Amino acid sequence: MEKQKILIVDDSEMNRALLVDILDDQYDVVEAENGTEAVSILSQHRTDFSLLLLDIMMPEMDGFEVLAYINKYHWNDTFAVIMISADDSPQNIKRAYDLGAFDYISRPFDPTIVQRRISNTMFLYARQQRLEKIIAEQFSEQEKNNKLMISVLSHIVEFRNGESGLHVLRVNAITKCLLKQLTRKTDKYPLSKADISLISTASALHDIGKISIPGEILNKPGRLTPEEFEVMKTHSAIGSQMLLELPAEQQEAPIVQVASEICRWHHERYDGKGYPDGLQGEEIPISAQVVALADVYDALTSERCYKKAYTHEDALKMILEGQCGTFNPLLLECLQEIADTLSTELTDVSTEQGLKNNIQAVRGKIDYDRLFSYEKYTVLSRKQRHLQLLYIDSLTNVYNRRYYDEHFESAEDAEAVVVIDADNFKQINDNYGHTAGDTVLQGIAQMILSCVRKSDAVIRYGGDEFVIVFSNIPADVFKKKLERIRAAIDLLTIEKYPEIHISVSIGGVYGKGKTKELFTVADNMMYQAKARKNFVTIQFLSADIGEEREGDLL
Amino acid sequence: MTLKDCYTRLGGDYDEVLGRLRREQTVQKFVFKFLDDKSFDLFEVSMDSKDYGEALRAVHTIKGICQNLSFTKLYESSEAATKALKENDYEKAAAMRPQLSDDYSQTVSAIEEYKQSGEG
Repeated sequence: MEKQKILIVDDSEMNRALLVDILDDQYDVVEAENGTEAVSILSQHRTDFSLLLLDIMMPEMDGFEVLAYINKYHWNDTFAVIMISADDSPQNIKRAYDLGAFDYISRPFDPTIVQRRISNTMFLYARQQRLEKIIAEQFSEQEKNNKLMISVLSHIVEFRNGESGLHVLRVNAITKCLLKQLTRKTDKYPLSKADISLISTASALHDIGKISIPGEILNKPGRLTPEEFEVMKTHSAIGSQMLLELPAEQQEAPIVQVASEICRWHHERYDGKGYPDGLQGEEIPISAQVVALADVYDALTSERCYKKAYTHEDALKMILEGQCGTFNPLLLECLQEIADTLSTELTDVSTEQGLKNNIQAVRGKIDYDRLFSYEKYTVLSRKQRHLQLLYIDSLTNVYNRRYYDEHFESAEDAEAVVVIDADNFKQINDNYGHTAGDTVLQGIAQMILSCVRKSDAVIRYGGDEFVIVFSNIPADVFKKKLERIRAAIDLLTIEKYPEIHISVSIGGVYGKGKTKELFTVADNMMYQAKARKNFVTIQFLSADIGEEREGDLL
Repeated sequence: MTLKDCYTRLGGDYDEVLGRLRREQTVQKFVFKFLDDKSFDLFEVSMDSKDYGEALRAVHTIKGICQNLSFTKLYESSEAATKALKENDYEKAAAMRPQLSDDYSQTVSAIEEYKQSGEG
C-alpha cells in the first residue's frame, strides 16, 4: 500500500530532520521551510496529503497565517493540521484550535507519542472521509434509482397512453424553467432549489391516473363523447388517490405529497373552471399550477396525430387567449419570458432521447390543425366534426382511405409504411356472419392502435386491409413493433366468438421516399408474408435508391 | 569521550534525551547536526542590527532544538532571551547575550571535542 503523505512545515532544519527521523519509516514525508512554501505546495498537491505538521513561529508566513488560509479555503476538509511548537503558551494553543488545528504537539518530541498521535489522527480522518464517501455514493445511487423508478413509471403511463416518452421529459423541463423564472421574478412562493427539483421530478407522475382509464377511451383517435370525457376526467383524482393509498410512511415523503397535489390538480384552472375540485387562484398549489401550464404548453407545441406542432408564438397566443383555460397571470408572464431558454432546453430533451434524427415527420406539411379533440381542452367545432366524419372510418374508428389519399398519397418524405392484411378474413365472414367480421376488424384496429404511438397514423385502407404510416422511428424499433402487432393479434380473442382465431400478414418497408412508392413495396412484402400467413416481411431501403436489403423477422 | 560525557560537558540531560529518542546513534546524529545550525549566527547578526523580530525567531528556534536535544543549559538561556524579546524588552535581551553566547560556545566546543575524540 502506498504510504500516506505528511507535510512538515518548520523553519528549523534540525526540527524537521528530527520529525523526519521519527516519521519516515511509516510515512512519505515532504518538508517546507516556511508558511509560504507550505501554501504553495498545498495549493497544487493538497489532496496528496493526509496530515500537516505546522510550526507557529516562521519567517514570511507564520503558522497562524497558514492555518487561517487553510481554514478559509476548507483545505482541512481533506487533511488534519497538527501544530508543533516550542511555544506552548495556552493562548497560542487556543488560537491554533480556533483557527481549525486538529491537535497540538509540544516539544520536546517523544517519537512514540508523536507517532501515536499522528496515526490516530490519520485513522480518524481517513475513517471520516471514507464514511463521507460511502454516504455520498449511496445517496447518489439512491437518487439515480429514484429517478429511474419514476421514469419507468411514467414511461408505463405514456406507453399505455400512446404518447411518445418525450412528453414526460418535456413537461419536466418546462416545469423546471417556469419555476426558476418564477423565483427570479417574485418571492411570493417560497421555493428553494430543492423544491424546484422536487416538483419537476414529481411532474413525471402527473398522468399516472390514466392507468385506470379504459384503453378504448384513452386511445380513441376520434372525439370523446361527453360520457367518455367524464371518464377521462377521473384520471386526475384517481392518480392522486393511488398515491394517497400508499402506506402512511411513504405518503409522508415530500415527493409523494407533491406528486399527489400535481396529479389531483393539474387540470384545475385559475378561474375555478377546471376539474376535479374547481379550485380557484392560489387554492391550487403552485406545483399543480405550473405543471398544468407545462402540460398544456407541451401538448400545443408537440406534434400529435391530430395536429402539427404549434410554434412557441402560436401556442403562447392560444394560451393567452384562454383557449386552454385560465392560468395564473404571473406564470403566463414567466412563460413569455423563458421562450429562449425553453427552446434550447426542449431541444436538449429530444436530442438526449436520440429522436432527433434526420427523418422528417411524414405529415409535417399538412395543415390539419385541431382536427380532432384532444383529451380535455376543446369542444369540437362544427368544422372539426365535419372533418371527423370525413376522415374517420366509422366502423373501426381509425383514419379512413380518404384521409390516406388526401394527406399521404402524394407526400414525398414518407419514412416507413406498413400494410396489414387479415388472414382468412373471408372465411370468418362466411362462417360467422358479417357482424362477427366487423367485430374482428374492430379488434384488429384497436390492437394495432394500442401497439403504435399517437404520432403514427393507422388507416383502414379497405376491407380487411390496414395501413400504418410511421414517423420518426428507428429501424430496430420498427422491426420490433411489427412483430409485436403480429403477435398481439395472434393472441387476440373476440369475446362473443371465442372460437375465432385471427392472424394477420404484415408487409413493411423502411426507408425514405414517396408514400405511393413505399406503399407498393410494403404491399408486395405483405403478399410475400401472406404465403406463410401470420408472418412479417420487411424490406429496408438504404439511403441510395436502388440498393435494397431484404430481411424478415422470424 | 562518550556522548554521555559530552552531555555532561555541555550541561545537558543525556538520560532524558536517550529515553526519548531511544537510540544513541539517533541522539548523536542530531547532536552533530546542531553544529550546522545557523540560528545562533542569525540571532547575533539580528541583535546587532536591532532586527528584534528576526532575533526572536532565531533564538526561539535554538530554544526548540535545545528542548528536543535536552541541552538544558543552553535551553535555559535561550528561553530567557526568547521571553525577553517576546516582551519587547530589548535591553534585557541584550544583557543576556553574553550568557547565551557562553552557553552556546560551551555546547559547540563540547560537541566538537566529542566528535574529534573519535567516539562518533
